Amino acid sequence: MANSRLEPTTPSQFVHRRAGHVMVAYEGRLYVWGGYMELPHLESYTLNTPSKSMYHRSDEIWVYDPLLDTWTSKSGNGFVPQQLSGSCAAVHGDHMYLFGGWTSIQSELMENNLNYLWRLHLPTLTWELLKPEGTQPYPCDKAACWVHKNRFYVFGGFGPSTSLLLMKNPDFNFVPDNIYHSGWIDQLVYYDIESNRWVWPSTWGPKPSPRAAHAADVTGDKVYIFGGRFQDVRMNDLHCLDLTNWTWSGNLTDGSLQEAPEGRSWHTFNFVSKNKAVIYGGFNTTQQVLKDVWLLDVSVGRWEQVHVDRTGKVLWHTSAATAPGEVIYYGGIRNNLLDMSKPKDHAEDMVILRFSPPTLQRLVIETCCRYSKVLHQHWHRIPRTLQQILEVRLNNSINSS
Amino acid sequence: MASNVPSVPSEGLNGPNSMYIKLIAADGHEFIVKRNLAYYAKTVKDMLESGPVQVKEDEPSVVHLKKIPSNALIVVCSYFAYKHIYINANTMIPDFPIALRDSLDVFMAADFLRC
Repeated sequence: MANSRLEPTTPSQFVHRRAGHVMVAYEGRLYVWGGYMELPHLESYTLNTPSKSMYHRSDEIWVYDPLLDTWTSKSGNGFVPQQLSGSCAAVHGDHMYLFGGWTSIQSELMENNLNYLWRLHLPTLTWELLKPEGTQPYPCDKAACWVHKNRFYVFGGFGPSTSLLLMKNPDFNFVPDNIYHSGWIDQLVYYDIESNRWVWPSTWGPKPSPRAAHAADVTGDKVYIFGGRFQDVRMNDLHCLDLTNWTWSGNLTDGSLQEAPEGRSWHTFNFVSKNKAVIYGGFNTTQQVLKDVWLLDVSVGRWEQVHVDRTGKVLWHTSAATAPGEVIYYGGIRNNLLDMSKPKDHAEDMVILRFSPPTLQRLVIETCCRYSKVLHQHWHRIPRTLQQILEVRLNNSINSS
Repeated sequence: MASNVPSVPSEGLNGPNSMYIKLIAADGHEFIVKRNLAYYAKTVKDMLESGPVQVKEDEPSVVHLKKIPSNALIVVCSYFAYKHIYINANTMIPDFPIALRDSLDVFMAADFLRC
């Protein structure tokens, strides 16, 4: 059982072994930052073997180009954040906003959970630590975020109980965990980009319970939030917040009327069109890692399971839409993250799910690469620029620049 | 051209707003496709709408694709149908098959046609 020989990590494994990171799409490419990698152990696992992990470098940003199928490592500059896992991120214009997370760096001065807000300028990869006015959010990780108009919103999270003492008139509920000195929160707060201020809006209607490791995405002026963990339960409830009148819908999942996906955390939720969203994977209440894919039509309130052969079990992965109707999934862990007796297995294959037709150029490039062994001898027939696209894609390169 | 190919009534093909247009491959094969589907190829749209010659009301709308062989053009036309069927479906869409022997020709065609 023991894997006594510790093999060095290959460049490919370095890229593909990642969990707890953030990933956003910008101008058709994926930007990946942060998170950590599980390391193999030298001795055999027992229930008391602590997980060994290594945080990825925080000055590194990996960029994936879906057309060329290449990963490139780039250096961030400016006020680079420390190494973090469980942060949340979203894009507004040319910037990625990054909130919260958990740092492995031990310090007497601060908790491991943070409530900092960073901004990364994507064209130049320059980081800034923002200093917003207003009441700061509760430090936490595993919150969900989204951007709507000129606001960056955060909802939920899991954070330390000590910070509760420091907050005056907290406008949220904190429910402690029995084991750790932390708990789940239901904070709803947004950063107003123009006025550089955190705002705690008042809402109407039934607010969702506190939760962490849930997922959210915006369509038009509404945000939908699905699942997440609260105390011992990983939920499948679906909530909608109308961002124009601040009204919560209440739980839209009614298992008795129709099929719905089972409760989960560490899953993904993305709109692929105005009314349809896709969820994939996650971790359920009985600690099973999931691989199912479901489509939600919000206009009729109906879930439909989609049967896909090539999706494997995964939790704490990330997703982003690089083209309309196309979602790319990356990273995550394939087995039970909480089971200390077994080595963790990273999900190293990327998955692309398409809900609307890609360009013929994209389809044929993928076909040419699939048949490259036979076609390679005929490449001289096509223009040099097109040959180069195939060459770059086939070298499957992982570059440093 | 085969003599028993059904002919499209000329009203369907004539004029700058006809429902159908004709795409002619390098080897002379003619493909009659709906204009709105062919317009998924930006180059076809530009050639018909912004080209130097305006099509007269009693003339067919024709695009000569002198560099695209018919084995590639037929795949392109199938792609137009595939795209049209699935563009609003918002379910998981099936793969679009492209045969090995056509792939390099289709690559050049898709690049030229911008679709």
